[in-house]
Amino acid sequence: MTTSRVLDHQRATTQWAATGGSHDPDAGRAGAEAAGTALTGDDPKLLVVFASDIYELTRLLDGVADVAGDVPVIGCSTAGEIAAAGPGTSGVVVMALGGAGFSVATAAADADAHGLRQAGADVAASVARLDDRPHKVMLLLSDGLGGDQQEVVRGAHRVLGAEVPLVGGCAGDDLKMQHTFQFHGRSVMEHAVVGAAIGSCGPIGIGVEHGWRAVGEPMVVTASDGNRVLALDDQPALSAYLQRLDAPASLRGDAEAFTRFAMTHPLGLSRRSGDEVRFVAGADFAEQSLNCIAALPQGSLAWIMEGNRDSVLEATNVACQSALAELDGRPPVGLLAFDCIARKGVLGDGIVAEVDQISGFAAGAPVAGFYTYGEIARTRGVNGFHNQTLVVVAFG
Amino acid sequence: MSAPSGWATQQLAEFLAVLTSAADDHDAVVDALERLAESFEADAGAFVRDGEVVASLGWADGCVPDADLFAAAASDGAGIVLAGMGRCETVAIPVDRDEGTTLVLARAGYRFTAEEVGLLRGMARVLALGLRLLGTVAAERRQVEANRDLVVSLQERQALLERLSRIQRDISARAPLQEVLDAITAGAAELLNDEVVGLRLVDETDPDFMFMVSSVGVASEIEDTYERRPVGAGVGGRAIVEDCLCVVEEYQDWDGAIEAFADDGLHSAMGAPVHLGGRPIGCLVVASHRRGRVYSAAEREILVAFAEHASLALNDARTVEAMNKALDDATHQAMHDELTGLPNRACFYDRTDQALRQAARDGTRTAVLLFDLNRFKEINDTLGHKYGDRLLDAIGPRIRHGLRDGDTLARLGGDEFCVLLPRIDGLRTALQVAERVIALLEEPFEIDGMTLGVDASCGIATAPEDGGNADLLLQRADVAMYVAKDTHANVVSYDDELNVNTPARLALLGELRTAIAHNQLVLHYQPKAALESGKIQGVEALVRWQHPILGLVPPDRFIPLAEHTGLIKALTTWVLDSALGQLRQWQQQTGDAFPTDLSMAINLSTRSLLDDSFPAEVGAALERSGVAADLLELEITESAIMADPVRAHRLLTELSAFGVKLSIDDFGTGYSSLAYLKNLPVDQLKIDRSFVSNMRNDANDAIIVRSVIDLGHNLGLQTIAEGIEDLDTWHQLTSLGCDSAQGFFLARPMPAADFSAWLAATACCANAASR
Repeated sequence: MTTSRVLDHQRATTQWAATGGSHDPDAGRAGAEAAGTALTGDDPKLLVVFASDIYELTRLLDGVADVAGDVPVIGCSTAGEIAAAGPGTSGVVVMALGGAGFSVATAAADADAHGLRQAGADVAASVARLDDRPHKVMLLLSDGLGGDQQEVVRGAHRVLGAEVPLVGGCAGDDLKMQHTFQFHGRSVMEHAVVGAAIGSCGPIGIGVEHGWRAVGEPMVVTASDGNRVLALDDQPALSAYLQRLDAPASLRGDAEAFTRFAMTHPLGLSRRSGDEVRFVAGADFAEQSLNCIAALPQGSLAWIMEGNRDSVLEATNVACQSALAELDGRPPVGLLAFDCIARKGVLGDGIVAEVDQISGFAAGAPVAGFYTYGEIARTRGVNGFHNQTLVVVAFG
Repeated sequence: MSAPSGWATQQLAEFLAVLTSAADDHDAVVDALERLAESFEADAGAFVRDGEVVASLGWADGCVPDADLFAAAASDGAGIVLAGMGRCETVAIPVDRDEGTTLVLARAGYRFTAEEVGLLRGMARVLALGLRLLGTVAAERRQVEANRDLVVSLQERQALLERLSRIQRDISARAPLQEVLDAITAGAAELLNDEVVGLRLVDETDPDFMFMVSSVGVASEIEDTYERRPVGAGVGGRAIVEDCLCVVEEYQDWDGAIEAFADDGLHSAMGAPVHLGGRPIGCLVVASHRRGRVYSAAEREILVAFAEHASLALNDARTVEAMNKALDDATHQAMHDELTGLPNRACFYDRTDQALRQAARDGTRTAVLLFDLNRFKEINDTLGHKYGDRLLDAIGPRIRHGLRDGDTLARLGGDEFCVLLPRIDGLRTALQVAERVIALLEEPFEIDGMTLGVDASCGIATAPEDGGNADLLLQRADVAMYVAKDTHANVVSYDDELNVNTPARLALLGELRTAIAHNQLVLHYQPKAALESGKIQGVEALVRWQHPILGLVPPDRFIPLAEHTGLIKALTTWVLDSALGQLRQWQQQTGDAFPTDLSMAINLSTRSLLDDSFPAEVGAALERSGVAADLLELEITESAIMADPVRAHRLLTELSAFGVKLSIDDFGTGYSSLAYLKNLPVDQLKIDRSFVSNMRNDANDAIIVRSVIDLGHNLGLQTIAEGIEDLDTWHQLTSLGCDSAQGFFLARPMPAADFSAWLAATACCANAASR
């Protein structure tokens, strides 16, 4: 069991964050233990649960709810969990936010019913239920395997406008790339968007960085349909992609091996202020198409992106620094990290170093997060869905 | 923050894809707004029409600041306040002037650049066309829906619906127009069960005639008759002229019948008009040879429905064509400067990046030349923008004249022009082009009978030396250009040092120019002697700059600056004239006591060896001074020679032909090829001080010195050691057979006045060897 709880005593009366974790093989006990460890301050306002889908998730959430009572709960399944003590898998990590300084409202919406955009809009509407706070953020957790998640961002942005930043990530399933789950209260949902509108007396800082760069000649996306890339340079997308990367022939029919390979070979799109990365999550071998975690519009130019341990770790530094820079010099009460699973692929053993780096920046404040299938961070403009990126949220 | 290469065209392509997939007018507007905001990283935006905000983005529901948006739409750049972000820059772009729709985008922190505004205008035009297409398609669809209700037979209706929905799918999927039209004639033939179906369109180039675009069942023997008919003839022609369904059930008796068809036994026919943009431009005709064939109301409506689908397909194809043209225009506009038609910054970036990729593959170099007109502002201010603009327009062709076909000339804005030279062999070519262009620009311009003179400064950056991307190269060419401007040099090539302490260096450069012009530099002279006899053989002239505030500025601080600013040419001329003048003066003043064979050595810059006119200048300086050529010794470093060995060989041969002596300076520090060295017309090797000063303590240095001496002698060259600081070294060098010496042991560099006295006092320095 790993736990960490640090309260900033000076602000203990206004707002606090604490985390708990568990690897107990029993889902109910793991949920209760992690939540119980996190719920140590007065006036808890929100529990955010990140759990491996190795657990029977309904039982895990029952365990959480039994301890949490009427404290709102949101969360999702992961491709690995992050805590101050280090990265882990097959476990559960919970962050609690509490104190009078925080105001929280949660919501969930089914994307199958009215589409991703509407789901994003519905969940974002919860901001209206917040008490008056000078700082706000909308935390969104969604299903990265279920279509273009920029649609969720667009929906939320339509409702909230430019004023409220959006953060979050897409749930994982330990790289099986089949089903991910979103949590709201005791409910385990699929194809859903869950969210928590968080108002805070202290500032909230957000840092976003990917650490990849485009290499070689671009390819034209000659046919695509949302997240599916059908043709690159008028060739079947899968062949063009593998050929460009000089990939081993064995990848052409092995879904798991392909995903592992593609994780460290994302595609990039050229955007006004730099490159945007697209995680290639899988391939349809019959159709010869690529499945990405965000849209690659037809007609756009796509590059093969390159990153390494150093560039990815440098991105971690930049993301943490930018998040903390917005706290007006105050130490953080807690950090949430949404870290793309593909970065874990590049870092290998270096993920320990990465989480150490994040913990170092937290300077004793609790850290929770998970390895995602797509990250959300909209601080300005409309674009807010990212791939292969680290998003750090610092609560001040 | 500047946009990356290829960004503009890509945004347009993606934008078009978004627009053509929108289901209706409102969706298109909303999607377009979102897409525009995403492309330009805008924080908020809106479409405003007739005092109404049609769509907005970036404000929560119920918080849209209508009045502010109207103000922003009415006045470009009005700005708008966004909650949590403060005041944002805004841009207002007319979308459809007829409808009075304006797009407003707001962005915090970054102004919208001229390129972005150009691109936005292009996208707005594409949007306007897209909306018109959607309007037309919607109207056609409504018509189709209305008529569908009139088809009474359920069976027919089902078949018709299936047919029509297939055609609609083809249209939506942008199947080739001919395929869609063929599907329409085939569908009409199947559903109406007539033997002959034809779709004809009015010939745009000859509107009195129509021609067949698709047909079913037309007998080949009368195909020619069918192929081209005057508008007005037959049921189809009548349908066009009268713009309504035309039905004839006793064809042979009809007064409008076409004789060939009547003779062919045609019994019944009907034609429905096909429209483009609301005007009848063609007809869909069915005809039957079956006696007693009459057309029911439902059949008439079926024909009309097919004709309407033909209209739909034609409108769609035409509008897509127009959108593609607008896209091409917008791409062109986004990539070109409006005033001069030259490529703009975005295009320049694009081409530079392409050139750099190519250069990386074929191992060539690329140069970016940035030209800035020096007196353009005065022309603009005194004569007005009209003349200024005409002048700018005339500059392009003039610069172009100095370039190769594959070079790119762009206007970056204002009076800045930029040239991309791909696939060049080195800086020298870039310098030549820059000087050629500047000479071309110095020719007066005739604008409306007025003669205008401008001159230009040019900054050069080359890849891969100065940067590997367009941004960096342009930035460095810009640094070099400003140095050129501030120092009144024509051309400056970038050097890392130019980027350091720029203001102070700029000041220094300005002062150096003044110092040269006002003779504020001085030469000091360091004697050289024969090692064996101690006889004074000559002096080396060393330039000194006594700065009024900074004191003595060391040569290694100002000479590199001069080399990168074109000032080196003036400096070299000054040194040549002063040194040779001084030698002549000594020769005349000292009379017999002065050694008549005393030589004058001068150091040459790398730049002098790249300057074809340099030998002639040396000749002129010798002539001005009256000094014999063989008393002038030019010292050239190994690295200067190796910068362009072929050229150096040519120039040194020319210089040698005058009788001037040539010495290789700092020998041993470079990487000269011996094979190459032996072919150079040099007279002397000067052993670098770094080996000489340490040879007493370091055996390796002593070995090197010995080797250089032997090498020189084997090649038939004199050897001279510099940096001799003590008697032991003097003796050691003498024993190694070195010919001459220079160094503090003999004398430090001294002003001209002191040299005469020193020379007299040392009495030919006979004592030097015995000290």
